[in-house]
Amino acid sequence: MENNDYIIVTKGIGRSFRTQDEDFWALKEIDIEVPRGKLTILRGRSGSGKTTLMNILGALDYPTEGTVYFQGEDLTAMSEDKRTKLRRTDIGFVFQSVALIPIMTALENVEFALRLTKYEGDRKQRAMECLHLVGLSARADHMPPELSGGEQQRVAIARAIAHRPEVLFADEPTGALDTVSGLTVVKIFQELTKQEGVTIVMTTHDVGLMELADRVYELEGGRLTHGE
Amino acid sequence: MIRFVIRKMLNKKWMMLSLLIGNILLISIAASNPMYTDAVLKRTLDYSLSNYIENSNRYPFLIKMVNSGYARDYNKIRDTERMLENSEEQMGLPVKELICYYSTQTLSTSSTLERKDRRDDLSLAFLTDLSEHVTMVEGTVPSKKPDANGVIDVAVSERFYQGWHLLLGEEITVNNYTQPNGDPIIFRIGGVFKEDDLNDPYWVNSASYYSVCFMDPDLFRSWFMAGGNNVSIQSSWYVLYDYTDISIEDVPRIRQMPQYLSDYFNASSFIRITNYYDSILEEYQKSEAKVRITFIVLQIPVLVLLAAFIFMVSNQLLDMEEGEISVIKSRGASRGQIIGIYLIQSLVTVGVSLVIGIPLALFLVRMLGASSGFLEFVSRKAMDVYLSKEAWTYAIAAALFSILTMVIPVFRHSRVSIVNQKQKRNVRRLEQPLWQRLFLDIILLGASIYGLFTFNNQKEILAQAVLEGKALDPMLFVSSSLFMVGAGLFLLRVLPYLIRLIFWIFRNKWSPALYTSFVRVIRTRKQQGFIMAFLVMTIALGVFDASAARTIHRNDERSLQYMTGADIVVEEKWEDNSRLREDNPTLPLEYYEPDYGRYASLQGAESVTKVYVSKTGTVELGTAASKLYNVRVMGINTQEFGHTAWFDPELISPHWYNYLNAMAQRSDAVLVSSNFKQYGFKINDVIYYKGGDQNLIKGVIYGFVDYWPSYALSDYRKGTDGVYVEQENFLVVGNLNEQQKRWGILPYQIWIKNKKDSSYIYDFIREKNPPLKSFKDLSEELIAHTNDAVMQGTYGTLTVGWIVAMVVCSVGFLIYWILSIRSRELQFGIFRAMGMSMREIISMLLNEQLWISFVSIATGAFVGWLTSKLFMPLIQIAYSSSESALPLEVVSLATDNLRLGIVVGLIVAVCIAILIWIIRKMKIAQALKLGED
Repeated sequence: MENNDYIIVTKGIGRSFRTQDEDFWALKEIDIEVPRGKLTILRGRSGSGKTTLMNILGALDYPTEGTVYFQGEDLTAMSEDKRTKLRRTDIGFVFQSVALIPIMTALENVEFALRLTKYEGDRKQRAMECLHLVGLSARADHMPPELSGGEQQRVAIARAIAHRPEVLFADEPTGALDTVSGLTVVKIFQELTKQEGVTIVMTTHDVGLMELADRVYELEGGRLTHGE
Repeated sequence: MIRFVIRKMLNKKWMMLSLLIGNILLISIAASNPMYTDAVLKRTLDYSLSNYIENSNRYPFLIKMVNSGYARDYNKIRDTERMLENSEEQMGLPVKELICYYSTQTLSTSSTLERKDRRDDLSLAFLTDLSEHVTMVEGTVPSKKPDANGVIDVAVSERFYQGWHLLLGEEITVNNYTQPNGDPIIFRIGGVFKEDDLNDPYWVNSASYYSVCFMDPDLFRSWFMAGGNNVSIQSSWYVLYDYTDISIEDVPRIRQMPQYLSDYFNASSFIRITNYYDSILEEYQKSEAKVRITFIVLQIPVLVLLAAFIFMVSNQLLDMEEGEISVIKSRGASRGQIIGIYLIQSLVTVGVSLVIGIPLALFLVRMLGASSGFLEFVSRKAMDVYLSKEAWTYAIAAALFSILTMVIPVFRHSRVSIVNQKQKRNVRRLEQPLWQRLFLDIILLGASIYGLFTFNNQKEILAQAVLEGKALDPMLFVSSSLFMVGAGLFLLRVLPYLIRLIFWIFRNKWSPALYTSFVRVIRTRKQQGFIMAFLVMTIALGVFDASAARTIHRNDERSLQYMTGADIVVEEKWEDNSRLREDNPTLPLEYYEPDYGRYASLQGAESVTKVYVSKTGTVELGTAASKLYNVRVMGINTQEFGHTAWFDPELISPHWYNYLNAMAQRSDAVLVSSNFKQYGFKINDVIYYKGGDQNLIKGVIYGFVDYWPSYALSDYRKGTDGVYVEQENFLVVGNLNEQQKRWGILPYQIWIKNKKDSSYIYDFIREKNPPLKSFKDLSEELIAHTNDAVMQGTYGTLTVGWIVAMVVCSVGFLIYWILSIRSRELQFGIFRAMGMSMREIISMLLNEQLWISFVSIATGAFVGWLTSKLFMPLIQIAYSSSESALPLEVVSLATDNLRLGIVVGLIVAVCIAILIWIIRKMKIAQALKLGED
């Protein structure tokens, strides 16, 4: 499956969880294509399976059936070590709940991602650059608890992109934020796709954000209802 | 509400279990203290009583009353008898036997046999139950009724029979008195008796003491005590009390008894009251006070540790439940209700702990009863353990204390509301812990070092107090505990700077995992603070307890070895020519040397030597006519002595063989104690000395020694004013051959070194039965020392302390780490999502362990060692004898440290295994979900 326009392509993936006596299918027959350097949105109500799907795309979870091609390679056949390495270098995550390391300043949080990827250049400079991108260079030395929810989410984004990943996954990045902060975050995503050429996949239940996306997949009850 | 509380408790089962463990230990240790103390004391009392019986062959619980004044006041005599019969209540011991000895005044008599070699004044008497305690040598026991001729049979002791020239069958008539009915009193010597069993306590006085004619008691009463003839009566009572069930609580009452009796009789001068037990009980009571204080004081650190543990766990629990508290509060619960919830929770915990803790306490005491040393157990006679009222008091006091410890923090936590709870979370957790801001560590260290300093200056006073039977000042133990806490905290204050320095030096070298763990260790000190402090304290206590026990034991053993001199020291009673000298006082005193060869050829002995020892030697001091008395003078055969005597070569330098070799070069060479230098003696000076009544002989000083087998540098002796003072001892050691040449052969000791054990010497004594003047078997004395109550209790308490420290340390450690991992699962998920491998996360945790746990453990071990180094020389005073012989050597046994190491290592290993298991089990996706509120 060689197609340079799409960074991720899935073929008939499904994910089931064992409940008490029967299998519950959280995802079924999902075929999607994520265009490189674009903003893709997975939309759906809570429980629709969008987070599960994203975890599979981001090599955090395995599908029960089907395959995922990441830059042409079969993710499901990779060793755990290789997946770890992939997450470290090619993928960045922003989670619904703010997931900064509470004992490190904003700058250190971003720098930490660079440490992990053994970033060659000046880590501090790159970290500041990323904080600048999300508009937080002034609060670089603050500890996470001293920042507002939106600011923390922006630090998380800066951290997720610092090592220049191929893909940035964002799970409900606006979920815990008010409308204005939410819009700011999505605007930053748009900027990122343009300036840094990052591919972004985000989930949301917010219909108002759809128009900002390059591509939208809608999920309901674990199935795609609408692909664009 | 109770159901709610119980559901809540089940929900937090691991925390509750730890809280329960803490409480159970606290309660059982508190309750076991008085039980154990009582049991040890009871054992001591039994031991000293049986010792008394063995040595003096007397029944100890005897009250002897001799009355010379009631004469014709028969009612008073009967009253006294009745009072004594029912004296169980006053005495606290049941009356085993009341022996009445009533005798008439001497009565003028005339016998059928008229002889001039005998006085005719005799007494009639009776002794309760005489017939049951005698063997008749001849004839019969006293008759119960007069025979047809109105004559009764009496019995007399063998000695009286012979001494008074009585004849079996002779009839004797009393001259001036009649029976109450007017009939004449006629008695016949019907039997001669001796004691049935000489060891029968009935024979307070041996049979030969009684120079009277014994008749039947009832007959005696009806003839002489019913009035009518006005005979004057002498009465004595011997009350034997049954002490098989003696309880130590009765001791004060028993000691009061003579006073009670004396008050009862209005201290009348004609009643003399004596008893045998008071000196034993007085001695016992002296040691009782000491034992009680010592045991409590030894246990204080353990109790404090447990309280700290309970406090830590309940605080942790409250931290975890802060959210729930704020939710309950937002739904309208009052502060009182919240405190109520926790009060119920603590009541349930304490209730369960009491149910389990009390039996555990009994078990602990039994286990301790079987301890022979530190962490050593033997099977021996079970201890006399019972649940005393005191044990309950202690247990309930501990329970109340624990409830307070658990409930007081609730007052602070119950003030939170949802709003300030969120705010609190947002506060930087970088501030210093409270104790650091208060400089508690510096204050504690200062106070304890001041205490150490003061006590060091008062060593003599301490030693005197101990000799006078007092317990060692509890403040000394308190200072050592404070020092442990202070030093531990102080190191915790300093260590972070060290960690920071290490982190900073290699700041660009750390892997992301190590970098994170360092940041965590450095920035979350407040959270780590307690577990670190806790680890430091437990390990320090464990090391200190072990070292204290070993040091006390080793020094006791060493000083016993040193003071005895050799494995076995025997001295025979020597025959001399004193019989001859009685007739001819001008003859010089001469001794007849017993056969030394039979000792020299003993199979079990490795080497044997003669040692002349005199404690009453004299030394002439220079030209002045002044003399030094009570010098220890020894005469030795250098080579044999070197092989036989016990001596630690470390004590003097160069090696003591060098001194022996020097002495061997010249027959009149002597070694003297270093304190002779104060009189201006130097090497090669001549000294004149003698061991006893002999002539002074010349010695040439070949060396000065600080220590020598069996020589104590100083003694504490009771002066005339009853105060103990330290007195220097002097020593002169010469060649035995030279001394014998000049003084003749004087009685000497035989020092023996065993090949293996000392059993052969007992075979030898049994077989040859030599007349022994003194006999010391080092191994037996060591056993006796281990049986000493204070020693036993000390080892026992220290053992418990050590075990508790280990249990609490393990539980505390596990809880802390499991909680810490649990609360960080989300973070691990993030790390994994960011591309950290499992290995990296584990290495991160191991690094945290290194800097938090390992550093604390090492610090604790250091603090424990330091504490024993500083305080043991003082604490040792409580356990040393009046002869302070050797310099103290602080001992820590490799095996103890190994045990400690194994326990700690095991805990850490289990902990790490659990951590790895938790992390491996963790699914990234699931961990991340935890974050979605």
